[in-house]
Amino acid sequence: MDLDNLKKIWKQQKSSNNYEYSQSELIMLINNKMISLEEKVRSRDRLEIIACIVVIICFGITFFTTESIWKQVGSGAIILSGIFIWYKLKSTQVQTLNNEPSLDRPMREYLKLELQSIQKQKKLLRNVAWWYILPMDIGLFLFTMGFNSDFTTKLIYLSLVVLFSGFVWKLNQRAVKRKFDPLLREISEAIQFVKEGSEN
Amino acid sequence: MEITEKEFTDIIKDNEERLKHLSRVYADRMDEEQDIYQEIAIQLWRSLPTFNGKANINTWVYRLAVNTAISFARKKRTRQNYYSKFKKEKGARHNMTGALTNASEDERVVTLYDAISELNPSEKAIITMYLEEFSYEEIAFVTDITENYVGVKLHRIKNKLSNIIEEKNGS
Repeated sequence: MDLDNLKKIWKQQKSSNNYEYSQSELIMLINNKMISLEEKVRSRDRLEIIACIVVIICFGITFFTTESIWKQVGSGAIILSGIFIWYKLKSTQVQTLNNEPSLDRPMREYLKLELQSIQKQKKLLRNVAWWYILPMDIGLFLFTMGFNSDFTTKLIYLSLVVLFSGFVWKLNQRAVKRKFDPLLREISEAIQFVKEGSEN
Repeated sequence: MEITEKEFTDIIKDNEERLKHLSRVYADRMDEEQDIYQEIAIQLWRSLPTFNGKANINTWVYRLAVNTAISFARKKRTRQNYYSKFKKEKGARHNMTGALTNASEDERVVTLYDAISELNPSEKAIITMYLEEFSYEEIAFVTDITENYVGVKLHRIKNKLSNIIEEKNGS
């Protein structure tokens, strides 16, 4: 195959007429996109805080009103888990934002930082059982033990919790396998390709 | 560096074709091409004040665009192939040799994009810059490989593209 032939083909391509922006359209588009991005971040933050507050209020009331020690300890554990999960998500978001590489770096350097960022996200999903599922399940287990019902009902309820947790874990591991691993392979390959031939 | 809206849109205008081609190279789906182009425009608007004037502005813009496209492709990754979908919609038979020698221009372009879509992100950037007639010095500036190695890399990419085409041709 002749590369010059490819150049010829490349030059002959017609410009895409699907999107043409005038000066004012482009500026308006950028402003709108930036505003909508800020709104998205704000509403996501709001949702996370509301979810955390709901957990604190619901289980906080139980914590102070229940006579069952199991329920009290369970409620406390669930509240602490909720706060911990919120903190974990928030700190990861802040870290990702602070470590966002500047886009005008050379591609090789940028790819390395992208790789690190993907590895961090993968680790978070891989370890979801430890920082998300387990703390919540411990709280729910203790809380369930305080139910005024027979052992079989408690067992059925706990089995459902375990099943649901397993499902959440499986979903996360599937995301790691299907999305993150192929992406990591691709980025590593891209880094490897430009590594040889770079000065450092 | 202070930049006016007029200066910004002039820079975009000067690089419009190249940026649109680059967006198409990194798009996984048909509707992503425009999204990538818009994202490049946004990132450019944000980053232009940091441009120190040491490099050629158009090469610097391209470097930023390549990184933005790579980042976008990572964030919005799907498994669907843009040009496979395009071809499926057109109902065209996938024959690379035919496409490169006898078929209509449009199909040859689609075929070329289809082959490039199978390369890794670094290879995509290097071959696209070559096709856009950037100099070896400029390719080195964007990718951070030495000028001497650009030719070597291009030779490897050419071979890889050849193999992709032959493979598709055989299937």
